[in-house]
Amino acid sequence: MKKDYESDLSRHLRPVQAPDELWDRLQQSKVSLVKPRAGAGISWRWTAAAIATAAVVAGITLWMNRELTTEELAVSALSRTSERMDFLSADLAEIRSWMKTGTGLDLPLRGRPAPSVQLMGAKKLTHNGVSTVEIAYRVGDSDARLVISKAPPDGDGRHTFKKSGSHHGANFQSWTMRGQMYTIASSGEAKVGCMLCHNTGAPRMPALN
Amino acid sequence: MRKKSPGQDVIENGLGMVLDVNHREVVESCQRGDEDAFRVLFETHKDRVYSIALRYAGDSAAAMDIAQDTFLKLLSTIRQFRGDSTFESWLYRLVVNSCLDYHRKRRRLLPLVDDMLDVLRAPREGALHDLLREEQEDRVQQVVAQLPEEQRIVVVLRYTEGLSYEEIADVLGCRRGTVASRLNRAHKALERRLSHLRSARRGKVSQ
Repeated sequence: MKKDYESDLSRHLRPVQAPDELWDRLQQSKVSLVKPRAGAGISWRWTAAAIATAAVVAGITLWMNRELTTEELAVSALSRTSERMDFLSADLAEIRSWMKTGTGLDLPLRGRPAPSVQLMGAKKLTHNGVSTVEIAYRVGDSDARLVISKAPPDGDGRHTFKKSGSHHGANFQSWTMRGQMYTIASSGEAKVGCMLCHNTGAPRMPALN
Repeated sequence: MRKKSPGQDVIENGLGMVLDVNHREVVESCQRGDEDAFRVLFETHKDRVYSIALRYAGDSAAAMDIAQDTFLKLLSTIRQFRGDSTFESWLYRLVVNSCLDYHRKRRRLLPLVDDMLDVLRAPREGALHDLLREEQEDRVQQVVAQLPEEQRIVVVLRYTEGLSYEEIADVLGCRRGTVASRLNRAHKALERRLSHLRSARRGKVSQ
């Protein structure tokens, strides 16, 4: 009896052909049958790597092209020792006159530079849209730069110190005075740069802001 | 299983070309997203999938839904196929799951829909002869479709696909003894119901 049923079942439940519409229904369904292409995963990884690289390059470019602070400008000027000066002179009075004529910026002198100061010259530039002068000199074995630019008037005409520190192995110090911003950068101690105007040494520095 | 050789299959495509299909290569291509490979798998297995669905669900519309669901599952999960079992076994599991999913969805709509369908299906006077003829042709499938799902899927895999007890056990993830037990209960139920139908038909014919 069981055998009869098995035979009967096999006959009645035999396989049939699928309708042709089945493929069409599959195609019409919204599941993606689109070929992702061999190696799509690799392409995706390459794309991600390219985007990451582009982001890093863009970041570096933005970083390099960003507006430098005055301190960074002074420090970077130290590495441009061979760069041509706009005005070559070893006389501070001449440099002062040149810069006043060309930019309106002044260098208030309290005396002669210290004997260890060797002036090289000065250079005009525009920094962050502001007319700026960079004075190059050496104090002993140390290279130094004094960067002067316009600044909002504040204080009583005395030094108002802004920043002091080191950057890329150089030391810097900045202050404002009589509507100008001053920044000294030196490959040695920052205070040696002060000897350009203070032949007896650096003025007493109050606590920085 | 009813295959020519392990990993090999022979299909005839719509252009009458006989294709030697190395399943492993085709499956691997499909796993890489090759639509042509998917088409080959579809053409190779569509009749099998549809047959199981039809014999399980009992009507062609449901079978189409189940078959479609099966191939969509195949497409979305084929990257998970690692070759631990044969591709056929893996595919059978997809079909079985689709059948069971269909059964669960349909069960949520019952009994209301079935009651309505029973009213619509009520035989008309003078349609007795047609009804008897249809019963003769479809009675086995109707009775199978009324079996409990765990017995029904065993019957379909056994008699539509010709799988052995061991193969059914592998597909369903149960023991061979469980398959035998379910088949035994299914046989008894089928015998009882078919005999009842046969008696009913004889009674109606003798009237």
